[in-house]
Amino acid sequence: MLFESNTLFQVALSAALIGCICGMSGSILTLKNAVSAAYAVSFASLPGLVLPFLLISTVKHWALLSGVAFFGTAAALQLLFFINKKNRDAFTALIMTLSFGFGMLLLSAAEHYPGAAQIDLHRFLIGDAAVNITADIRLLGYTAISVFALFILFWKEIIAVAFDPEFARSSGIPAKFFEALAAILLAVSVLTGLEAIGVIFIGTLITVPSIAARQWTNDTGAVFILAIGFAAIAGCAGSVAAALLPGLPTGAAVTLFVCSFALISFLIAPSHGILWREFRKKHILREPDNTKLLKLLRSLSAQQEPLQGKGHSISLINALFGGDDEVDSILLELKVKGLAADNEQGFWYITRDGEEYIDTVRHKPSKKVR
Amino acid sequence: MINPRAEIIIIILLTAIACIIPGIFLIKKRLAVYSCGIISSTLLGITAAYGLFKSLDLPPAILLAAAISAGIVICMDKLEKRAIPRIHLNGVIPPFIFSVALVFISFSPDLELNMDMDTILLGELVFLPLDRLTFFGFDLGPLAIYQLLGVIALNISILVFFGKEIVFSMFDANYSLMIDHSEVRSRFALLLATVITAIVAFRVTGIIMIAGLIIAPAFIAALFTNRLWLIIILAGFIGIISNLAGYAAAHTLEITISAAMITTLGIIFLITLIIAPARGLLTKQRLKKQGEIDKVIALTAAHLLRFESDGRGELPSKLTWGKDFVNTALNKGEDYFTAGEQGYILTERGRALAHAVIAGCKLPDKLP
Repeated sequence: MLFESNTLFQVALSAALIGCICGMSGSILTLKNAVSAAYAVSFASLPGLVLPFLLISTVKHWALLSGVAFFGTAAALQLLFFINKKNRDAFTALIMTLSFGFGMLLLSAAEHYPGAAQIDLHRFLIGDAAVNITADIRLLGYTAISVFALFILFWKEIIAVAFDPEFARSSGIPAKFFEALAAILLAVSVLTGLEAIGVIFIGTLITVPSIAARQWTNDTGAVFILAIGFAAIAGCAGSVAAALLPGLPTGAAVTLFVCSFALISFLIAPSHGILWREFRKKHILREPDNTKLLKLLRSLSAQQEPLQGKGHSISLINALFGGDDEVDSILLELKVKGLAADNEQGFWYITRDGEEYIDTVRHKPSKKVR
Repeated sequence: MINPRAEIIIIILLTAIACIIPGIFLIKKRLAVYSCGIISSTLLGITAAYGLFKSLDLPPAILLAAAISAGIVICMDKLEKRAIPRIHLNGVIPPFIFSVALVFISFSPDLELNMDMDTILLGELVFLPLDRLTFFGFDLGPLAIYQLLGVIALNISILVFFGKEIVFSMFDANYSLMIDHSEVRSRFALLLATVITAIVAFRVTGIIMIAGLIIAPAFIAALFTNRLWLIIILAGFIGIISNLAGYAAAHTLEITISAAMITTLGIIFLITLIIAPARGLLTKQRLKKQGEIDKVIALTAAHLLRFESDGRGELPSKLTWGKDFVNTALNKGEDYFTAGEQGYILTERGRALAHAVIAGCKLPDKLP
């Protein structure tokens, strides 16, 4: 049944919509540097998922999901407002693990209940793409559009509050309201993706796309749009892969896709990526380093007038230069250019050419490089 | 052979003790969330060890799992040096590794036999007494007890060898560098201890809840006191109590032991958070209110000093702070001003306070 193109399309589309919603709410978290809050909220929603089942023993989805929404929002509010910076790290970790434990306790209690077989609560842990076959695409679409509209309407305020709540408050923006809005959006995105992606993995789909997007650009709007794109593609690809390969947990597949986007971004993204930094270090930073070292050699030789030409040991130069282990290679480069030389004892000194070079460079303004 | 129930109790007590030392240092160095990530990524090492050795019983298997996890820690450190923020790395790498391990498990029937989802998430505490250490035919008890004893010895040695370095780097990173204590080295030792503890105790509670078992007792103890040795004792006490209570609850209610242990910890955590003597929410609330009253008293004293020149005293009714609140403050501030004929008159202490407030242009945190 899954191989029918129509069904597969349904799975892919609803997963992409879930990805959109998650990506949008996650970009606030990345701005706030509160990535781990997403995990805390998603784990905190686990007790909320099981509790309605235990209390009113219903399998109706609205009851389950409103429980999720309640616990998730409560945890998000807790994290975003009430906890001071000093303890936030430990609190986040505690909310994560303790509420997960409580959720597992309720799950194991639910197994004794008659009717537990009707609903596979374990599915909520690692996700199941098959849920998307019956997903209400129209509802998901409306949710995505309304969340997007909220962001467009209050863009300035949301960004201001996320960057600097104090500043936002002082300039008349109701910061509490927008923080609460961010928390509710977080809970909504957990809620939409919970069944298809799973409690354990929904946090990744929320945060990682915006982390990946953050590597490519510094512009907040671009991060937002890129995050939506990454999350939609990853959600879609992961769900389709899980639907086609039986036995593959959907959440794990989605996580694999979205995390590989992030890893690739870490590697090749311009201006933040590792390869880019390496490249820039070699080709741009080199020149000022050479000049700086040459100037150091010159000032050393100036202090040491009578011993002209005797030079200094590499370890001394290294210490004075700032302990960079590239000093050796820079010195060799200078030697090749004939600007510096070493004697038999391995002591380095500046040549006359080098001094002339310094004099020519000195009056040019040096290029500023980060 | 003692009865399996007693053996399970011994195992959970030893688990509580093994978790104390990493927990305290992780809390103090603010590595709690980071360590959650690292602990969840130990699943890859555990999977590899299961794949190669078919069990996690023998030291080589544990060492392999620990080595893979240590490799992950080192990789994350290297990446962090390449100017990728730790918070981003921590959001990406551990989930990636966790899901890679999960994919391995779900596609290898051999692995799935040993590690189904329930083992990963809940542990298999009930089956632990079945793995026994035998020595020339003598039954020496469950293997897990000896593994946990080894982990406790390792953690104590970490405390002895690196405790001072960790404490120094916690308080003053520059000073610790100056006396040749490497922050990187001590942090790595701490994370290694955490990882080994998690790998061995993984079968007790599962991969996610073990982080709670490590962090929560230490954090609860740190709410009570600042002294390291007291935190160690208190954390051990809390861990043992909660594990025992969780076991008892699980036994009577027929629920999963590990989840019950964590839930008990959660209940203790909530209670402590509210009633802890110095850092609890109740104390904080009271101190906040006290601080507000102090401020009102100080401001009233300054106000009275400003207008007392005609000698009649002044009624601070012009202060728009809310009538009830001002009345409370005036009643509490008897030492500083007394009711005169037409209003309040400053006493000697009140005068001193008012002068101090005006001279300092700042409200005191606590009244003299």
